[in-house]
Amino acid sequence: MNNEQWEELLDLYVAGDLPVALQALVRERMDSDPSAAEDVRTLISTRVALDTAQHSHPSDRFVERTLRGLLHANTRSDSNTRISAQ
Amino acid sequence: MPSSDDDESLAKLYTADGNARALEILFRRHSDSTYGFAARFLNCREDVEEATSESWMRVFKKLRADEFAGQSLFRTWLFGIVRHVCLERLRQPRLPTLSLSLFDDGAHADHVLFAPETEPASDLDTAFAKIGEDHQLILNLCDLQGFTVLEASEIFGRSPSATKSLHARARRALRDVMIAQRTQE
Repeated sequence: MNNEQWEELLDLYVAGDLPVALQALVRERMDSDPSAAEDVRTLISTRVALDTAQHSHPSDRFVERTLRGLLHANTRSDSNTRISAQ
Repeated sequence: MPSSDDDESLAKLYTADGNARALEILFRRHSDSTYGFAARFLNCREDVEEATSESWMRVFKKLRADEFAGQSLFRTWLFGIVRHVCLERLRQPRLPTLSLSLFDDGAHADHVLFAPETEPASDLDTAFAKIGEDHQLILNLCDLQGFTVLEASEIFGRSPSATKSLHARARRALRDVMIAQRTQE
């Protein structure tokens, strides 16, 4: 297995998309090569950090103000639709 | 009331008759994620809010002009526009920062540009800011916003295989920066 193949295998393994039959290949290499084991461990850790990353959220005030602006600029005056009271 | 509330039907409904309800549903559904996406690119709340507003203005203008072809998902098309607006904003010259403390109270806060963020940055946030723009974008799309590599490739305008490769490189780049940060601590 060359480096490119190993990295592809590893990406699938880290993503949880590697078929069970091939997972043994990764574990085998991890057992025999400490640097490969470290590669796997740190990539999984990075994925976990991304999965649990904090997201920024807009304030309610911003959402309502922007929505008002969008409706004012982009809806037709003859529209008979009404804005819901959310 | 829209007969079907999937994004693509709402977008078509809005294009057809400027339906206000369709606009509102689309905006409320995606305002949080578009804001979160922009926040990963831009450094302060005012920039993020302006980029988000500008993006949505462009979205509805394009819908009115019937520029959403429906060949991709609305969400994919939408994030392509947000990405474009954020990149434009990143390339604009910056105005000087004003401190909130210059004002007597918070009533004028909406008029202050580039107020400093007060939330402490996490290890991930710090590392994220240090990797390349394309790496930030692909991780933002695939890992933070939940796009598939195929969808991200449409937003990027690259082939799926190139996007997949970029995604793998981006994760490694982020990993390497996070390790370097921990080593320096």
